[in-house]
Amino acid sequence: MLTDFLAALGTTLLSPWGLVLAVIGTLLGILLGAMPGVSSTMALAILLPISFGMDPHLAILFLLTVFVASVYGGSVTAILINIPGTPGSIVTQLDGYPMARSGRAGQALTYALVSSTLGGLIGLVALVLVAPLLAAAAMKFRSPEFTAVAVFGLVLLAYASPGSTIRGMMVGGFGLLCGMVGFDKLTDIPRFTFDSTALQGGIELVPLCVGLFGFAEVLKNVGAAGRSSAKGVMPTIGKIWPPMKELLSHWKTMLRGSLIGAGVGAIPAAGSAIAVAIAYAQEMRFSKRPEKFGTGVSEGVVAPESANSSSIGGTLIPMMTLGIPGDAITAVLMGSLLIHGLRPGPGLFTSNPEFVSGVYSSFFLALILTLIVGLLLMRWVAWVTRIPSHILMVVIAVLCVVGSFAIRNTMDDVYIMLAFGVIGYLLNLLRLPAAPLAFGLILGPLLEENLRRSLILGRGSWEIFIDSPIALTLLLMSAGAILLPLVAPWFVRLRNDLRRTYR
Amino acid sequence: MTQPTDTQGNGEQLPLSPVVDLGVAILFGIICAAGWFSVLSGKRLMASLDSGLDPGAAFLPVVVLSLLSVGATLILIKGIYRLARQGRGGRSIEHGDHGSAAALLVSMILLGGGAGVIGFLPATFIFSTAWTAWLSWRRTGRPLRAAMVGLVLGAALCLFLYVTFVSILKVPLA
Repeated sequence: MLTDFLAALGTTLLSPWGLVLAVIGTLLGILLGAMPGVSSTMALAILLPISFGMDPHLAILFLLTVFVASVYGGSVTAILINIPGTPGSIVTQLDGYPMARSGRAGQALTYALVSSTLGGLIGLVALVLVAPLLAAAAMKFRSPEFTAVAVFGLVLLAYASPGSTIRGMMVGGFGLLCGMVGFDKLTDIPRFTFDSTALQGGIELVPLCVGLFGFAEVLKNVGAAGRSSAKGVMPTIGKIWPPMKELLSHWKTMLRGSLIGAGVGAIPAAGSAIAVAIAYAQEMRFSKRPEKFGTGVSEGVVAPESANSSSIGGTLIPMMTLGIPGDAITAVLMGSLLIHGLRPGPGLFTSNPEFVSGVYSSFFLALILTLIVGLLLMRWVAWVTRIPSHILMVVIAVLCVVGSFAIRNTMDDVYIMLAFGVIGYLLNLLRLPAAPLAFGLILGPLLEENLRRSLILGRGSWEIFIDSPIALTLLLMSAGAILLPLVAPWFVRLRNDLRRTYR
Repeated sequence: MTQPTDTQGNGEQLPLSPVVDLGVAILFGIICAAGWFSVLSGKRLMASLDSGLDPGAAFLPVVVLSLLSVGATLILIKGIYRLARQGRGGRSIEHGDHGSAAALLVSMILLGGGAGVIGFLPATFIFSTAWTAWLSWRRTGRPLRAAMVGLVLGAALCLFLYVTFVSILKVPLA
């Protein structure tokens, strides 16, 4: 395992193109992440087309560096201007911004950078240790188990989405329908094409993601971007390095945050926002000065940042081993792998072990480069937060068009992207989560293919799902997750009634 | 400018307004209507339901559409019931500058159409110059400066697209 990892790392380091791409990816990731209004998902979605023409190893290296670096970039805006660039940096601003206001912006950024790197490394270790075991177990899966995994993944992804679970699942159901557009693979019968040639080839994941996470955001923000706004005062960076003794004294905080991040990140759809919230709350519980949290204590930056970064490794575990994206960002990443003909799942570990090692080494390189580039460019990156939002919006809109066109060199994908941008805009208006739509598109084909194959194998009987203990367990857990939000209010009411009765 | 996040609505404790329920029901109603129309009008697709051991190409679409239809109906009933009982209170539909969003969408469609007539890069230049100039003018109220910003950004963006996508990635944009 270690030999393969080192070999892959050596190959990347010895390849001048690989190194150049990794550095460019890191720079772009930090810059885009640090731009107010550009999330990691959006950064990845708009840079995805650049990777189309690359060798798969280089493409994943480029995208992982963008991903990892943009997570740090998101913390830059959270600390300097109190605007979280990514959901994972929402908690960082609670103490990061007060630190910056008190003249310790540079130190807050260094805390964020160092704890991100350590957290990311622990997330990588979790990925390297857990992924092969899970993939080996998943190799024993057959169609009924894969059907149950797809159902479970879809339910869990909708369950963890903000707002109503049922509504999240309905958006996921719409995603499943989108995944069925085009010719059915088994029978060659067209579905949901409405006699349009543009839809006969199906809906690609990339235009959907670019529309949903890129163009929809532009539609949402373009009105506000045209309004004159008061210019915020950016705090001065000041001293970059905190006292070494103080930095090292946070090793327990970093470790706790990293373990929480890796564990929570590995749960499909739990995502970094939940991981950082738990890490912050836990750190307050362990702290000797919990009342100081929120006023600019360094633990308040270290704990969420280590959890944020280590959750990246966690989210890659279900994606790499089961083909279930851990969150919206890994859904976009998965889209890139699919374009290169690589279907994430247990088969990837046996059919393409070099690629898996390449993912590990790319992730490692991305973490180290983010640390180096982040430290070197800290004072300059701060200026990126001042780029006017209206210029960003126009550039992103054009990149959304180019990115969608570049997949198959056809305007059909551009119009599909625009349609999903409008859908994303409508979902936002109606306070519905957009991510389950992408999850549905990814898991739809996996679900349908295995469901139909299972029923053929079971000679039309649904008992095939009961005969498999794994499939049955996963399906029961899915049913539980669906029923929980329906019965939970009833139980709460019953408990309150009982309390009142026996008081 | 509101911040895009990968999740939405965290920390909002107020219940949703019935207006949102009705909006959600209408959205899914439209999706279901389009879906059912496509499935039921496909004779080969519907015939696949009786194709032996394979449940058929229409099986999952019918299952998903049925569940979505039930969900949309229940949300519609809930919305009407709550509207009648408690009025429009609660978190309503997200506010937004729908006029600007619609204008951007229309201009993006025109960009797609215009690319086929005058070429992608000239169409992009017009699009980006016009939008940047307009947004800059709205922000600063200085038309000459806004026009300059628009022209510079339009030219810089086209140069970037040409170098990155046309020269390096060989995407046939020009």
